[in-house]
Amino acid sequence: MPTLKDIRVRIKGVTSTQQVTKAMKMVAAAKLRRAQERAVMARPYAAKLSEMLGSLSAKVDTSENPLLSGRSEVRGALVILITSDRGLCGGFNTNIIKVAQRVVNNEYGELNAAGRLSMICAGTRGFDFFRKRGYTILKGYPSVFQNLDFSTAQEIAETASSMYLKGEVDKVVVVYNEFKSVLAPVLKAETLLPISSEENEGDTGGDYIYEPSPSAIISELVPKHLNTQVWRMMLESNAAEQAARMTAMDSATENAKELLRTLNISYNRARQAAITKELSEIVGGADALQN
Amino acid sequence: MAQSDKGFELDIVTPQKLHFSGQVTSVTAPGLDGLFQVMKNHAPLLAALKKGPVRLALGDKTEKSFSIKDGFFEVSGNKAILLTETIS
Repeated sequence: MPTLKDIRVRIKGVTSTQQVTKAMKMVAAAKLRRAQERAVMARPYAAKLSEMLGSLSAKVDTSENPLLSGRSEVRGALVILITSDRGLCGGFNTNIIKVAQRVVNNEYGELNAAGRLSMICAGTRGFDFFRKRGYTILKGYPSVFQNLDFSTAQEIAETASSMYLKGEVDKVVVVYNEFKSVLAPVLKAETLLPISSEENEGDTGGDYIYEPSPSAIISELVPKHLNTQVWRMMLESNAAEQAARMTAMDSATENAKELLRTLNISYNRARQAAITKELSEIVGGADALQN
Repeated sequence: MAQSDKGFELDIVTPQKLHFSGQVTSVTAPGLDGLFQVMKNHAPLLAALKKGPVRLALGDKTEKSFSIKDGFFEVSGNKAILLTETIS
């Protein structure tokens, strides 16, 4: 049976933890709003770019551009993992790292064993995880989300496409959290390269004049498309991270509230028991004096 | 015509934000093969751009200019879009 003092100390501790989680929840909510705004801002650019690419790839023979046509045999792979920089966001990092491990060890397990698999990790968490376990990390970007900038996305996309063009890798996969709703992110393992030319449908743009030529434009367009894809994924992951942190901190605050309630009950019960005991002692003492 | 009779719509879009949006009378942009200018009722055009200056002539006789590193320019039906990653 804990003493009154023990319970009082615990109540104090839980209260201060609750204050911390509540504050973190509020901060995450504000950051989430900002992250969402950025993701929305990036959308028109990305949408227009993939529209252009879609209508152009219908006009051009895609097999002449190596980035657009796949290779039959996958002899090397690059896995790009996007995690967060900080913890305390529920299962956000654990879940995505699990997906990345599955991709690395199962889907491309043979390549990994043969040393033909490399990784790029954006975000401190995933970087530390895979570095400690001795995976070949080509490039790590710890603390990118502290100061998220388009140039990082550019750099990652350029590394990936140059490795692909040199034939060092035949497939580039990005593992990241997609922001679907505040409640739960969607875990994704998306193929970045080769670009799948799926949107060849319908409106191909009619009688456009192309300056200088469709194939020249497409070779300009593809790297830009990759940059924006990586950028989009990073923004999605950032928004999803803040959402995950917000929900995690919200449930932590709720848990603290519940804990405080039961602690208060046992505190009051202990207090009452002490009073009752004291009273019966006084009464017993008085009785003893009278007799 | 309901719109102002000399201009057309132009949006300049970057991955970060919508940089410019409004009516212009002409746009000069650095195409891969050299500078070109687009005015109202231009035929549909899609061009790749290189590093250089972009000049907009606004309806009220003022000019605006930016410099871009690369990008794309599309015009179709008096609606133009300029996509670029870096603009200043």
